[in-house]
Amino acid sequence: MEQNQDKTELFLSLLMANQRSISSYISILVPCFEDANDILQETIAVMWKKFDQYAAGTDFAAWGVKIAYFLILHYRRDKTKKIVFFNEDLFSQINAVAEQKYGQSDEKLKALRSCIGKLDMPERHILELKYEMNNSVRSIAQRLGKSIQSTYRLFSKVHLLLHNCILRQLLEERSNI
Amino acid sequence: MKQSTRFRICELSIRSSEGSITEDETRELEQLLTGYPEAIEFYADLLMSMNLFNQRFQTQLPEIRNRQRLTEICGSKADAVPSFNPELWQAMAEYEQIAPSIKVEACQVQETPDRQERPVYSSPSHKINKVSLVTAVASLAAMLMLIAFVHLNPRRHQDPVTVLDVFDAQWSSPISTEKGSLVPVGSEPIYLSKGIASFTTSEDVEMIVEAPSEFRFPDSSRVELRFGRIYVKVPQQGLGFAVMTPSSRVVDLGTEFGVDVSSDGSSSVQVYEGQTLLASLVAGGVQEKNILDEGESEGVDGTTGHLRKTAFNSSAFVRHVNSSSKVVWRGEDIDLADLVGGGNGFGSGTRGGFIDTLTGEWHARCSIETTTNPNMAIQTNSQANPVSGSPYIDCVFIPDGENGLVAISSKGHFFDQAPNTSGTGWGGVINVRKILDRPILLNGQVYGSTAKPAIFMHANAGVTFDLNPIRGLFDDKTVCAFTADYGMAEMYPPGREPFGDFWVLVDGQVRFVQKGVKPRQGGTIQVALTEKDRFLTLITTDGGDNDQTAGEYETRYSFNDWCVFGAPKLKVK
Repeated sequence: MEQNQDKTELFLSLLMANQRSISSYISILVPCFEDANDILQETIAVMWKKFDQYAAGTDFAAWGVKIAYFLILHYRRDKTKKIVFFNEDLFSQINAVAEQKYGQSDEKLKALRSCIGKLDMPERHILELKYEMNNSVRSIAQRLGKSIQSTYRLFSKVHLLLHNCILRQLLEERSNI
Repeated sequence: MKQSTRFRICELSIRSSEGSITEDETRELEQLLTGYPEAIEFYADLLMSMNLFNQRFQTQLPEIRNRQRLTEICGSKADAVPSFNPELWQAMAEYEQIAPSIKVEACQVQETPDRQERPVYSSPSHKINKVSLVTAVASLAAMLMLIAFVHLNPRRHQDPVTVLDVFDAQWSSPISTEKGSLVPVGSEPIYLSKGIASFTTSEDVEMIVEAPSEFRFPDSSRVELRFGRIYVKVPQQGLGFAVMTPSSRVVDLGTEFGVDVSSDGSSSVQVYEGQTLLASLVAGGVQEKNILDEGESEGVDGTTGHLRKTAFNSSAFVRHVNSSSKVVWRGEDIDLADLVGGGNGFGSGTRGGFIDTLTGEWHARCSIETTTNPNMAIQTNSQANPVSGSPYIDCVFIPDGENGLVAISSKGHFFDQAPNTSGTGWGGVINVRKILDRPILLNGQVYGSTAKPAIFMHANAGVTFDLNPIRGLFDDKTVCAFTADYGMAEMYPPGREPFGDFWVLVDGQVRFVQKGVKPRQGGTIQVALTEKDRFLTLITTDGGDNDQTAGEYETRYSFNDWCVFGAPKLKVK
């Protein structure tokens, strides 16, 4: 029993440290947040089920990403009648990029927090409306009295600002290493 | 990349993340990304950022660092457990073994939470999103439930494999390989020197092995095929089942597939349904890998491990075996001519065999293959004559509408559009080779061989097939259509040119009719069938041109109406 408790603790601690990376990987290949969240949960379930096969000391996130990849293939096969997916070639290319990028999640989150702090208040406000209060772009448009299209453009502008800021931040940090 | 393109990629990415992107927008995004690595990088960065925004519970919830805290959180939310899908676990194990390593940059793991850091979305009244809280708690609670599940089923992969069926099999094996016996996993290799054997695992994975083959089951989630041929069918619960060969690993992604291993270690895979992951191995390491879709076939070089596309051969593997009905099925259609010849639809019948339309009796050979005599002409008894010699044929009859409704099945179906005919037949319903030493020439092609079988039904004749026992040849396949060529045989004896009608009925309903067909005026028939259809009836009638006697034959009968159904098949899927 005590051994099982230790195993659980170990799994949880590894998961807490690496869940963000695995989640980032999934989000690149499965843009829809709800579906990505489902796949993340399934990935965690499979990782727990197979935890005995995990070699201690090896890259936990990489192991989780391999499992997630499999589940994403299954998801694409399963939903192919309901959702239009990218073609296989493009999917493979995006996957290659995702494999490179997921490990940068923590430093990216740090840069993101810093960059959000540099946004003007109205821009931060609409991010709060969407990501903190879980409003859709449509409902935000209604609240702001804007058209849906212009609200999407507004979000695009804010995300582009953040993207450029994050890039600069990461470049600065890496050049300081 | 233009700024306008970035904007558009950004907008479409936001729509994607909400699940509100349309099909056209997806295609537009696909076009914007295809061929532009920079665009793909940008797209990936955007989605990562959005995901980090969406992971607000990570930034707002207290981090869980001890079991007590975990219990505190999960205790009150144990009911909010999402349904988990425990599939693909087997596949994960196999993929983990064969997947190439992924380069990972240094990941900065936070040893202590940054409790001093200001939350991303600061506001005077700090709000915790309830949905995120429930989701996080629910996932952790579900993990605890899975702990119990795993401990209750610790030995799933060690369940023995069951011998499902054996057909003409000869073994060299230290263990019992009789039908129904259990094969312990981890045992010595099994050598099948002759015949076919099928197996099933505790997760209902079915395997059909064809001799000569040598194989073993390391556990119930995989099979090692050292050489030979195996066909695997994997249901949902067995997802991830793997076939291991000297040169490759084949991992199921929800599929039916066949694997062939040669004595030099090279292997090939064909996927009949779903998808399969194929990885070639050299010196135990993965050389190449590919995902194969339905209808694809790929070979693995035993020395170099290189993958190469190969031609898909739909009949390469035995996909169903039933020793009771002596069915060995490689995906072919059911041959109705073979059924007429007393067979099971897959070549076990007798070419030349026929059914007497007056008595329903089956005979191995019809004398009109070589000769004829007046006694061959028979007059209708106006009833459906049961065929006792075959479980697949219900009855035969000679149709004549002049005598009222024509009975066409043992369950009371009638041919209510039956025309008035001469009421005579000739020769019966035949799995034909030749007639009067003449080849059966139909629409310019020769029929009456294994490659091109045919049912000869000189007008007037009818035969009804019972689809229920035919379906019983398979466990999980359906009969979906009847197809055939039809026409008047062109090598008829000298005299009047033949002229006849062709009918196809399903449960007494006319589904195809072509009247007044002369030589070289035939065509093809395609009749769809459903699970509810029971009786398929083929009928030929004399076209109404009841004619004069010819030479010594004083009996009034339809002359030279050599009606042929060429390559009559039931399609199986």
